[in-house]
Amino acid sequence: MRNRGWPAYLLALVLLGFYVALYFSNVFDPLAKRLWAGADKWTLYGILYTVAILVGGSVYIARNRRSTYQVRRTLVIMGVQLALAFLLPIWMRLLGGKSFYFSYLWPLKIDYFYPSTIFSYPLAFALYSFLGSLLGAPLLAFFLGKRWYCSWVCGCGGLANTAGDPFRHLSSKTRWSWRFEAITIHTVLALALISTALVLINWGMGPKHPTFARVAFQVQQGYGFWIGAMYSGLIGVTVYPLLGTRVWCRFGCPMAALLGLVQKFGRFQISSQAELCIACGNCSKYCEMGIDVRSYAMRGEAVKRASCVGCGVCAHVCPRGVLRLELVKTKAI
Amino acid sequence: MRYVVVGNGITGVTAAQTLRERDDAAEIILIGEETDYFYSRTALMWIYMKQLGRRDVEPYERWHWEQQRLELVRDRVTAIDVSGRKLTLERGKRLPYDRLLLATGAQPNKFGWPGQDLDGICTMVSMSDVDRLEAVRQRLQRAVVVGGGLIGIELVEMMLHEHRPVTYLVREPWYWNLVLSKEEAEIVHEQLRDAGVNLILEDETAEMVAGADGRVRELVTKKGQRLPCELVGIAVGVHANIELARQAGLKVGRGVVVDEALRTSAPDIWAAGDCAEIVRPARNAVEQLWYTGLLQGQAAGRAMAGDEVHYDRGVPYNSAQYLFLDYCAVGWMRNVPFDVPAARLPAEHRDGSNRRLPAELPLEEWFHRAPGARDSIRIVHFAGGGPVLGFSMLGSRWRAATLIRWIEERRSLKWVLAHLADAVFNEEFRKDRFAGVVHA
Repeated sequence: MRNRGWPAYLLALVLLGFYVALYFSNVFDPLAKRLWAGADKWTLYGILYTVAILVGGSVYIARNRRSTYQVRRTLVIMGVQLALAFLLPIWMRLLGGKSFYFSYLWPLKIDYFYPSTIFSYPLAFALYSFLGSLLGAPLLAFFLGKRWYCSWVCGCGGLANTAGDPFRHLSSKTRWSWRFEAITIHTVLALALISTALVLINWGMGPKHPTFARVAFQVQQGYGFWIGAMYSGLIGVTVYPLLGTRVWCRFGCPMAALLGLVQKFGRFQISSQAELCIACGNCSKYCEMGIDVRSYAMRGEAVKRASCVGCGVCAHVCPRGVLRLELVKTKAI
Repeated sequence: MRYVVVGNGITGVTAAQTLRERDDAAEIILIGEETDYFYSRTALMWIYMKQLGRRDVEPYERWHWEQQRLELVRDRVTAIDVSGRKLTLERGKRLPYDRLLLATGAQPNKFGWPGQDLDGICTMVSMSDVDRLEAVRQRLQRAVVVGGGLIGIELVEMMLHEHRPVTYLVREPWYWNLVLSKEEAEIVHEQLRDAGVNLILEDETAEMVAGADGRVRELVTKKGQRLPCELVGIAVGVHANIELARQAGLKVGRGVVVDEALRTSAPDIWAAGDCAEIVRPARNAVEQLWYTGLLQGQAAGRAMAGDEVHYDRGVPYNSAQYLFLDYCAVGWMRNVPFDVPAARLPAEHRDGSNRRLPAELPLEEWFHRAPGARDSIRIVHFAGGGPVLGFSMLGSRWRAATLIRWIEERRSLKWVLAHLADAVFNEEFRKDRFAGVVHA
């Protein structure tokens, strides 16, 4: 799928149809019930998602076997998806409990900061969620870059970097897309913060303010539907064959926005050597985040961008050894 | 002031950009014959392999030119009126200039072999070469590639990408013997043979024979081997485009002759890049690499803007990839035909001029091939563990600037070996296959 020709539009249409059927109908439920009695359409979706990551990841590893970084990263993505995002939640449900996804954190998994959700879990899970989101994830992003999450753990990034990999080069590199991105990703982050804040304030105030409670509930529901389901799921995957794989990660994900701000002040960067750069453009072409890596390489400047998810593909496809993912000590720490 | 630059390759474009930095008010016109916009010539192989599109190899977005106020003209310059300071363009227009840069590049060599211009004989230095290669793609069954250098191995990789049997004809006793040692070349040979390439050493082209359809049918070597093929890729070097300068009465040799400020023999005309021949005390320099094109473009831009310029490429370097095998070379090696500036030689070996590294210099080599891996390190240094002079690194990635600095600082072999890890530029998690050896 090199270009956005008619097969790309057809595939996007198929994906759209699948997601619409999944979200707005129960056509997949009978099929799911055949698996086991307790399974529903979301179980089936989980299986499909995991198979896509495992199969796509295996192909990716075979194609990129020369790069230890790519092989290890992909093995971790596959392992996290299989164990933490699939087997463990199913096992928890089979034991009669509620699923908990250890690989997802607030603000991507926004409900894990909603009191109604988090108090339905044991205290240890709540602690994991709060410490992980507010302390663990930003700290790791400072020292390792946001890649530790976006390219090594996250399921959205996981699908993008495995089954979605053949579409990575379709990301837009225009100035226009950059301006658009800066607005949208920070808007979604603001919405996530507002939604979380309203829900928490409402919970703190108790049932004394019914109007406030109604507004908070509407915002929570609105965010959950439009951002959580429509944007990150339906739109994010449907546009794979047209706009590349990281549309949600780049233009929407509040977690990526937050960790990106940390990364900007952290140790992670992609160093470049202008001396050796032949300006071929492989790095820019295969950047799934649409960063014009070549413009940095030609100037010998380090790529230190909030949006970079550190997948490492620019360095891997560079035919002249110009780029390297590095951890550099900052002046601050 | 009107600056006109002939040639929109890396040299011409860099010169135009440098001029814009130096002179905000000047009128700068960039004339390109081959394409409307500057593209990266080094990326041709990936266009053929469909890894990059033609638009992808343009290093600047198209709004850039307008923003920099660089006027792009697609035309061919047919004559220079030196005394009248005017260019004649193919479409008939006359274009006056105040200062002119010739960055006309180079074209591929062919050595007069019978049949060398048959349909199916392809070189690889321009976009139209890709068109020709693509035209043969459909009927391609077997390919022959001629020339043991960097472009030759790129052509081999392109043919492998088509999953077609390819014969690689190298005249020398081993691949790229200008730069690689025999042991290093063996590693490349292994890489080629593993990929299924039929590598023929120490034989060369005698003629190309046409079939009944007038297209190339086979290549015959001097030793009499007949190699059936639908495509012959020729990569045996390039020669400077000097015709325009010669007709205008400028001094030419292997290239357009320039001094160290890149001035030609004519007033207000400079030349730089692949087409230039720079006067040097011992042997004039013709530098036909991407990065020297860039350096000369910068120097020419500054010189034309009125700066005092003494162009010097400094410690030479380059990097490459041989079918996934990284290669980085920095400095001078015994078998490299680069001129070592006298300043770098020990006092007893200086003769007061720049000169070629003489065979009698007391040089030694530290060579190590990592066991079981296609990795090797070769460090050329003065005898007795003296200052290092060159690095030849196969199968790994290096910080060129660090290696260059070590040569400039005249670091001893022992010091360099102890600090080698500082210059490694490999990706994370890659095992350092030299650590044990170096510290032993």
